[in-house]
Order: sequence, then structure tokens, then C-alpha cells
Amino acid sequence: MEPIDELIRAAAPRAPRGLADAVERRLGARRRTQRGFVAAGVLVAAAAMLVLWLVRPTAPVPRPSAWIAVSARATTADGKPVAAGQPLTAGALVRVGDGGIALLERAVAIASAGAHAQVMLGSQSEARVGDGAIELLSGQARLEGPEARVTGDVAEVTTLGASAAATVDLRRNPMIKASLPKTAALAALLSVAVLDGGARVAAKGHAPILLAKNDRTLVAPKLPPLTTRAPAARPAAKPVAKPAPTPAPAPTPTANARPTATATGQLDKDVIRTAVQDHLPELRTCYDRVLARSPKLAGKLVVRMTLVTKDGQSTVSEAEIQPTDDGDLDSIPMQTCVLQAVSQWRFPPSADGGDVVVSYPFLFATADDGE
Amino acid sequence: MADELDRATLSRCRRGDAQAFRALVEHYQDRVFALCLALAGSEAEDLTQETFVRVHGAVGGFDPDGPARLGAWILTIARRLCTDRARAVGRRPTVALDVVPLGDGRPGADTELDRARRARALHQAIAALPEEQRAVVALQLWDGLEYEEIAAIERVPVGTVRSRLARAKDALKRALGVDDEERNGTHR
Repeated sequence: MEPIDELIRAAAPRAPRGLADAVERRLGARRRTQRGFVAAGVLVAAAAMLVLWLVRPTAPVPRPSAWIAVSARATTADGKPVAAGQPLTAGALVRVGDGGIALLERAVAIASAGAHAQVMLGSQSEARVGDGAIELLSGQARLEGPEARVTGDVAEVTTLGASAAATVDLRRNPMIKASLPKTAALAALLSVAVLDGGARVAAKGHAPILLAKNDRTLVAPKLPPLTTRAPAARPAAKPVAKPAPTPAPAPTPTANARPTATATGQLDKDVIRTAVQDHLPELRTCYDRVLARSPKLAGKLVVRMTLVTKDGQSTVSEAEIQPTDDGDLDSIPMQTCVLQAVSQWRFPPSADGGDVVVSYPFLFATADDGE
Repeated sequence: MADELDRATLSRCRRGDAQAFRALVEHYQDRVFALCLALAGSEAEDLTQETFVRVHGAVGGFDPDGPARLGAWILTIARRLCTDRARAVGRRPTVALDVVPLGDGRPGADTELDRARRARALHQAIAALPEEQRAVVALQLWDGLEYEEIAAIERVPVGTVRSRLARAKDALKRALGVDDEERNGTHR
């Protein structure tokens, strides 16, 4: 062993006296702290449970609505069978099974009409009971009486007149979305047909439209309402153009713009015609797409557009399909596709900055039709 | 080689026997304190207590038939605590020389003052060493660990332990003038 080793070993420090006691005290303090933490944890947990119990969501108290079920077959409300004469609670989810039917009546009559509004839900329909209106979630409903009202996520439909009657059909069809990629919003499509009296249709984001007897309209999200007027309800100023001769048959389906469009307002017809001609390929695409499913589809569509001038250009604020004497092109996907395309068109500004109403006929025919 | 706690007491410690654990503390407290003093100076007492608190919580998992002796295992815990403390504090530890009890503590002898003087000078010299050299000096000469055990604690090869110890001794000799004394025959 070296002398330095001996020197270092001789100077080895020793622990202070009472170190073992200090360790025991520290261990005891730590145990107490741990017990304190456990106790505090238990207290916090108990307090949290108490708070949760105090603020627990209470079950909503059923609130009666203005609606009663006059008759019901294969119908449930919030999962429970609905009996005839049963009042319905607000917010109740009404489901009509296959082959079933439910006639709901608003208990409060419209004073001016002295009649009750009724909503009849058809087979496989689903609706939620509101205070003043029935929210149609899917399926068909028939509205009768004054101010029978059905709402949905695309529009609100209200009948007008004591003897008014209308049907409402809300379809949620993923096939529409698949077949029309540009109209993805069409996963929900609301169709309204007025059987008697009148109806007011307020599509979200658009001005309300009034429908007369035998008018019908289609409403889809992000699109203007697609309205077809009944001949009797057509305005006097219907398109003046007589059907022009169909141009020479094309080897492919064609969308023929008719040069006999009408326009009211300060916008030259030639300007309108030129702008429409630029967009004809879009309509041809619509037609081609529909022909893939219905090869013999052909006919005429008269589109009525309201152009609003703003920021140096005219845009389409409203568009609808007008009825024709010689038969519409009866295809909802086609009409919807055309309307969607038209709603995106841009025109030069009107001369006086005012609105311009344009009625423009389009004839859709395949080459075979023309031969 | 430093003696170890007997296996019976260790077994009782592992079962949570308080008296046995006190015996463990008293058995190893000087060695742990010496290492902590070399590495952490004035915080040695606090770190020694904390080491045994950690040992109390972990001794149940110590394997008496494992590769490490109990003393080396306890000193490993102490070493890590000292390193963590130095890292947290971020400064070089200072040695509290005046509070360090030395040798066997018997008063009265003429050599006592001389021993105290030498010990004080030695501690000052050790405090001036780099940390890794202080550690090997304490572990080898104060705690009695083998080179292999020190290498395991320091996580370095045995050769590195030897070289660190040699450099430390050379530095201490120079600081204390031991070589001169040896040559002059004045070392006692």
C-alpha cells in the first residue's frame, strides 16, 4: 500500500451522528405525505363525484307539442307505438313502418281559416315533431289545410289556403351523388307538388317561391329551386318563340340552343345568345350523362333565369324550368344538371344595371331522333 | 474488501422490518456519506439520507444472489443521486471541511492536531480533483470496492478506473507534498 493510500484511508469521513434517526424521520414524513396524498385524492374524487352528481344531466321533461296523432298504423314515437288520439311530445321522433301511415293534426286551428292543419306521413317515413311544424327527415308527407308546415334541411314548405293540399317527398339518395359528381349536395332532394290551393317553398339561401295548383318544384342544397309551372299557372308572357326546326341531326347527342329566347330588361339578346352558346358544352355533358341511363331520352327544356347585375357582370339569381306545350324533357337528373349548370353562368352587365329575366329554350335530341 | 450486511438482516429488510433496515443504514452510512462528501460536499448529509430513503423503497427488489453486492448496489444509488443533484444545481460541489469528523475521533493525542491538519489538507486536495477522480478515490479507498465494482458504477472499463485513480493519487501527492516527505523520511 502506498503512503498516499494510507493517508487517504486515514482521512475517511464518517457519517454524522444521528443519521440513522434522520433517515427514519424522513421515511416517516414520506409515509405521512403519501397517506396525505391518498386522503386528498379520495377527497378530490369524492368532491368530483358530488359535483358530477349535482350537475348531472336531468332527463328532459316531455313537453307536449301542438300535434296529436289522429290515426296511426305501424307508427312509433321515440320507439313506442303511437295510438290514435295520442298527443305527441315536442321533439319526438316519429317513424312510420313499411305499409304504415300516420295522420298528424295540429290541435290549434288557424283562426282565419277555422281549420286544422294536417300532415300525413307515408310508409317508411321519418319525422320529428316540432312546435309549429313537422320536420321531415325522410320519406313522404301530404300536407292539408291552412299553414300545414313541413321543414327539412333543404327547405320549408307551407300550404296556403283552407283547402290547400301538397305532397312533399324527401329523398336521400347516394346514387344521385354517385351519378352526378358535380352535384354532390344532391344527396338530399326535396320535391313538392301542389295538389290544391297554393304553397310557399322557402329553400335555404334563396328567396321563397309561391306555387299554385299543379306546380311542382325540386329543392336541393346549394341549388336554386327547380320549378315547373303548370300550364294553367303560367304567366302570360310565356316564351314567344315557336319551336324552330331542329338543326341537322348530329352524330352525337346535342343540346340545341334556340335563338328565339326572350328577355326583359336592358340586355341585348345577341349578347345573351353569345354567352349561352359558350356554355352549351356543359348542357351537352348533362345530356350525355343522362343518356347513358336512358338512351331514348329527348325533349325540350325552357329555362327561365333572372339575371342580377353586380360588380360589372350579371349572375343568375333564380332559375326554373318552365312548362312547355310540347312536353318537357322529363328527367329529374337532367333538369337538375341543367339548372346547376345555368346557375353558374355569367353574363355581361345590363345596360341600366337592372334585373333581366331570360327565358331560353333548349332542345335535346339524339342523332336518331333527328333522322 | 469491505464487509457486507449479513443475509439474515438483509432478508428482514426486504420483508420491511424497520429494525433490520436501521441496522442496514448504520452498516453502510459511513461509506455512503464518504462518497457523497467527495462528490457533493456540503450536501452530503442530505444526499446520504435520501440515498437510504431510496434504498428503503427498492431493497425489496434487491437480489442477494445477483451479480452486485449490497454495498456496491447502495453506492450505485448514491452515485446517481449525487450526479443528478450536481446536474440540477449546476455547480461544482464544495467540501464543508469544518464539519467533517475524522478518524476514530479520540481526542487528546499529540498526533490529533496533526492528523486533523493533514485530513483537512487532504479533503481540500480531493475537492480540487475532477469529479470522476473524486468518485474513484472515494469508492476505492474509502468504500473499499473492487476495481470491477467501481467500473460498473462509473460505467467505464476497469483500465479507466485504474488510470483515473493513478492520476488522482499523483495530484494528491503533489498537493500534499507526500513525495517530498517520503524522500525526506518525514512521513508518519
